[in-house]
Amino acid sequence: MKTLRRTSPWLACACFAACFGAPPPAPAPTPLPPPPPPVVPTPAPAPKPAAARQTVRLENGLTAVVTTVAAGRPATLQFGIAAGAAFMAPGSAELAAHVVVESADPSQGRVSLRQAIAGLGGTVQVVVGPLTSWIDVRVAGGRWREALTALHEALRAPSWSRHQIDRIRSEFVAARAAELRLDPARGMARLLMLGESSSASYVLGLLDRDPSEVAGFLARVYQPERAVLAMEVPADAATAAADLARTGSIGLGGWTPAAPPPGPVLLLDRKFESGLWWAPGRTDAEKATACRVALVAMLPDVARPTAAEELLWAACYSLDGAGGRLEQLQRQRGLGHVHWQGEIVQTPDAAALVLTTSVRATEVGDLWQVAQQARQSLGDLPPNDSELAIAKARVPLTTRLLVADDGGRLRLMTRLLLAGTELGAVDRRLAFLEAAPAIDPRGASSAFLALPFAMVVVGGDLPAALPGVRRYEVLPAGQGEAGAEAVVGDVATTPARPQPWLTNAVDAVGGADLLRRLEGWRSTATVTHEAAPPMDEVVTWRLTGELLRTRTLLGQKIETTVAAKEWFERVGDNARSLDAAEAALLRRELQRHPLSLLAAHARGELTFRTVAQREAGDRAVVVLEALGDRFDRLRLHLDSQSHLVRVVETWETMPGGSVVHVQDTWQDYRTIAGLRVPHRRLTSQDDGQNRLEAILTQWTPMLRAE
Amino acid sequence: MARRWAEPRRAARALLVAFVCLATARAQTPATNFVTPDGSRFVLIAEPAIAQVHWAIASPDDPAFEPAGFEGLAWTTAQLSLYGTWTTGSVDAGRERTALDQLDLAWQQVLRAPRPGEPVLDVQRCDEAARALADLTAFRRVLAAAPVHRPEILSRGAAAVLVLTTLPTAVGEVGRLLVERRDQQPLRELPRGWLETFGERSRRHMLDVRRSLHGELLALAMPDQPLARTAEPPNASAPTREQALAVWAATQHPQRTVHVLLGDLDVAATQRALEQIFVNTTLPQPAAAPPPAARPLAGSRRSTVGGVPVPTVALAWLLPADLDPFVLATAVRWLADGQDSVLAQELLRQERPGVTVRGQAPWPPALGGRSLFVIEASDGKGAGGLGGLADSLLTLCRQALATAPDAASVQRATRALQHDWRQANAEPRLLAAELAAAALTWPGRPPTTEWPDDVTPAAVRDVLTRILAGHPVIVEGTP
Repeated sequence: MKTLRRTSPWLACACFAACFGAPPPAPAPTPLPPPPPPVVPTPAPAPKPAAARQTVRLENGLTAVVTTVAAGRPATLQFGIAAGAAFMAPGSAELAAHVVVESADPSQGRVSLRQAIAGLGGTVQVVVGPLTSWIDVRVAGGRWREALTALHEALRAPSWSRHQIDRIRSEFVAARAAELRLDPARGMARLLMLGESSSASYVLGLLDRDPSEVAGFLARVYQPERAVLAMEVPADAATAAADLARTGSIGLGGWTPAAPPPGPVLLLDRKFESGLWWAPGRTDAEKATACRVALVAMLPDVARPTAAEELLWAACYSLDGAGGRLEQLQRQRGLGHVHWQGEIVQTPDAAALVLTTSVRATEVGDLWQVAQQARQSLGDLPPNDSELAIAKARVPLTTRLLVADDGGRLRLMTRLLLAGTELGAVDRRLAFLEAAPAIDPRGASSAFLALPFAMVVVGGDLPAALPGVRRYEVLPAGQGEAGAEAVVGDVATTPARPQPWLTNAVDAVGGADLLRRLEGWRSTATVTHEAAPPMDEVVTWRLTGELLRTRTLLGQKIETTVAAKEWFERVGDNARSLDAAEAALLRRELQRHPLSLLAAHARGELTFRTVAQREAGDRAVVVLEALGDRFDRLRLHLDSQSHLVRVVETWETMPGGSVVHVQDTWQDYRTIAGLRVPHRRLTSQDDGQNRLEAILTQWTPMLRAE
Repeated sequence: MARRWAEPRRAARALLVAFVCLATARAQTPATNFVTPDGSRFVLIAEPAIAQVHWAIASPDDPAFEPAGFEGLAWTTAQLSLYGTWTTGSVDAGRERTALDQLDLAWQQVLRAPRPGEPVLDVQRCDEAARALADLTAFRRVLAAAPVHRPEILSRGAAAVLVLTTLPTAVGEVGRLLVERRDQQPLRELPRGWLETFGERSRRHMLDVRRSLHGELLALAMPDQPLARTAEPPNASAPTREQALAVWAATQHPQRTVHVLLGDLDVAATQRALEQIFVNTTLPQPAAAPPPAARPLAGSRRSTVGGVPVPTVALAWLLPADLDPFVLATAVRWLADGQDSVLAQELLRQERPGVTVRGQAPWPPALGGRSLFVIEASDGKGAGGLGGLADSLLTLCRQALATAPDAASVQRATRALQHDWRQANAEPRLLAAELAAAALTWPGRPPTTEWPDDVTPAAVRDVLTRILAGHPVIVEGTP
């Protein structure tokens, strides 16, 4: 995990957008038939005068880009924040943007931004990429001031109400789950572009977010200096920009939210992962049906200097699923009957060509091989003149497809403007290549082959002999037809026996079989305390009780070892022995980790009793208490919706003999090697007077072989 | 032939352009309308902010153009047209034509017993033989190289719309390919395509829980009209190739289609280019004139049907000719569509909170809007049953029109329609498809890129008064 400082967030995003991606795959050549000659060429429209545009930085730090459009044209307002799906915690960015759009304040008579804009006959759309989040507003040209007033109001007072955030989250999750059920392959293709590795874990990420995390994201990230407002309005750009700077209903220069809480804005380590992703059918009927397949080929960032060459190679690979090396190789391998439907799928930060089709499960392996080999063939045998001629005719269309709708066009224009370039650069590069004697095929090939590339398969039965396939679930269990609400509704009727809850909790983190194989883990974390500088911590823990911990504080390493017969701590050359109480305290810190507790239960070493079923805020939790003498009144708080352990509380006897109440709050669950692992721990002692936050940046399990 | 008709055509074109210039006062972005020498109607809308050209061709998808029992055939032929032409996609056009005829014969034999002495053909073998002589992706490949992005057929009311995206400089080449698609259409894969349409129509029919209500409504309101067949269960028979080709010719003839080009266009140069490409057609002059509109009812008609899970009453009136589609939509929304509508609010006041109201017009979709205005009211709670609901609705409709609607409520309806329009057409590509369908459905009404703001309460009252002056058809649906 990296930290993005609050300086130049938009520049940082531009840099990440340029390199957001991962490597590809294997070989085979082939030529292409020449294109039919154009019969009646139509002239290109005459060059248009540059639109009147003003870029201003308002006093509060917000950047505004105002463009004048002709009278009668609709107005577009785009509010962008330099933080997207790869920031803070999974799902935070999308939920935060939706809270801004959907929250209302009935006590003040403020309707939600969505309602206000609908009342003007306009639309609001939330668009989130890995690095940026956007709220797009479109209204009739004459109503842009009213729309801007509504946007200003929504930014000035987003809801911090737990109840409202939960309601918005619940509706958002239901809508996303419905979209994924409708077109799971396309949905997963889009999620890959956000750096997700499974649509089920994406939904779980949304469900796992506590309203306080969403409110925290808003407080930390929705700040003027991280924001940009792009407007296309039928008004004089200079006057509109000046109005923004003034006080008043549309004066976004007067938007001054409270200072963000101290601490870094975390950047998650996630990226588009190339490969073959497969969500096989769950039932026999689903396994017997044809698979829905989506081929996801990332397109280059048009701000890159080599974008034109990469787009040429991409066009030689396939023209929307027809023609190109892909179709040729398909025909050679007996897959000529596979017809693709092509579309450009975009996030605010990246675009991909997504080709979709339906095939039998037995054909998927060959199709994936052909798809990779066709790509690789462009590295082994560069495109010939005929292929390049077709591609050169095609690339100007592809670049224009990136700005096919008003929202995408204005967003890309703003991003390129802030990065100091513009879309016409690709056309000029193409014109240069037209005149140039030759293109450097090696450079173009390696840049093209470095673009992420994946195939998503949904349905059918996963063949046993298919290597390298990454299995995933479309939706988490319980999100089928009824949704999560049905699970919550069961709370009142479930008998107060602990076992069903524990079984669900064990299943929620990976299942009993996997937990029984868990022998320990290695983790890396950043630990912060408000009264101390941050400290890095590396822990190797075995469930047998063996602990190796290295903490680095102000450049100084503190190594702690708790092994069978060795209990000591070393700082530089100085080492001191630990007594039994100190060693036990260190061990218990790891033994009360949710996975340690659930693994102990799965192995039959630890049992619980039900204490209570509580409503905590708007969430229902079940409180279980550990039996036996291993812990002092240790209690688990299980979320009845996600079945995840949210809180572990216990009493600890300190080395000095004092007894304190310790509470670990666990958040940000992520899937690693099949296990759901919390990545954020907030430990509080003495009723919260002493708080320690640990953010895990890495977690590697030690699993016994099956 | 072309020469003989040149003068009348030119005159007609001038008339059309003049009409359109008058009518475009409402359009935010001016549209250029013209008719090419082959009779194709074109609408060019220059939007410099759109970097590409979205080209939409609307053709009728209306049972009036289909043989009885083969509803959906116009849609099927439109879908099949992307499998190529005799020129693009055929290994040997002569042999393929024979193979397709053989397949047609075999296919028809499967559906009926062969005549005595007729050799029995193997459908699968005929299908394989026809496929071996065709390249089903060739046309898409050539389009892609033109370059064209995402050619697809969309359903928009009574229109099937081929929509694609291209570059301003490629309009000529794409136009040539579109003429080829129209004039040299083999309709490959007809059996497979028809089965897909049949399956989809059957599925939709089964999922429509009010199918018996809708069937009865159409039977009473539009007896013997092709439109009434849309509520009937799909016919299990299959069209012959000849029937399919006849439907293709009838729906794709230049006089029956509307092209909309939206985007970065040099309008004058594009018009010149199109006039050189869309010169004539090999399709026969369409024989059948559009069917006569349903006759106004001489009196009210009333019926009760079973098999409707939620008790529902449906009231329908025939729509008069020459309605303004925007005024009609606003009037329907204002009076009867949704919980903010006048009827819903009045029913709430009458303490019938379980009743939901929905208004639609034209329903079913039909070219020229010669269809029905339907109000459906369902009593989900069913406590009060349907007793008196139909009469209450009729009374409320009359009361609503006794005085002029208040401007604020009409404005709310307008804003709601503007929101829906903007939401549905956020992509210019979809906007082009919508405009083409609208231009085909409402001939003579120029397409506008924005939903208008100028519908007045007086216009709403006037249009509703005209509609409700007719006799209603009332059908009550019970479980």
